Amino acid sequence: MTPETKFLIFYALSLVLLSAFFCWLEHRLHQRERK
Amino acid sequence: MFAGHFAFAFALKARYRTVPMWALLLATNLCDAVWLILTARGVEHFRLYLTLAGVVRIDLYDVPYSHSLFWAAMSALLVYLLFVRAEHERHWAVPLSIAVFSHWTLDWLMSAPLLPFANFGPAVKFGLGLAELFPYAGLLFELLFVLACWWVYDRQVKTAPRWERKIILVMLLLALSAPQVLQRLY
Repeated sequence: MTPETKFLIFYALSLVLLSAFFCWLEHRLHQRERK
Repeated sequence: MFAGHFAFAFALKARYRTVPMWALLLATNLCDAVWLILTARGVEHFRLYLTLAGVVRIDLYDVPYSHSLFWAAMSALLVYLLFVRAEHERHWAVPLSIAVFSHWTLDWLMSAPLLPFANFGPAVKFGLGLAELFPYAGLLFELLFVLACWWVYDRQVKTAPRWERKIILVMLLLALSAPQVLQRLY
């Protein structure tokens, strides 16, 4: 596997996982804020 | 820039509270999402190289669609036109189009002159090169940008538990260290 391929996989995973985590956390914060 | 795009989504969320976070995150990272798909399909190309200072850099030498000025502007316009006609999501139009174009603007600030005009027209390349010419200044700028965006967001949710608000900052700062991980992949 070339470094470029590894980088693409790493980048895609980071993008998806970080976005999912931020969505979940922001939603949670929003709920707490409304309580 | 990586962390800055996520941070800007939070800054927009502070101003446009009714726009969902997933839409803002998707919009601020749309250029990179398109880049990933087109590169995986062999339409666009990049390479990693080692500088004399021993730092691994990305050379986006062939990105005529995902990171071009014309297509970034067109994507932002398309997103605006798409949502401005929507019945319930009309108020998403402005923040999402700002978010889409912000990606190209932030990359222009940080990247070397690699960003093309389009897949046609003049062969001019754009990029102020802050991170390339002055790596520490580039890192400092991104750090300050992330902190500023988080601060803007944090002011809006100050009634929420403090530790949860801090996690966002911690994760954004961790994302800042993404280039260090890149070094290990080379």
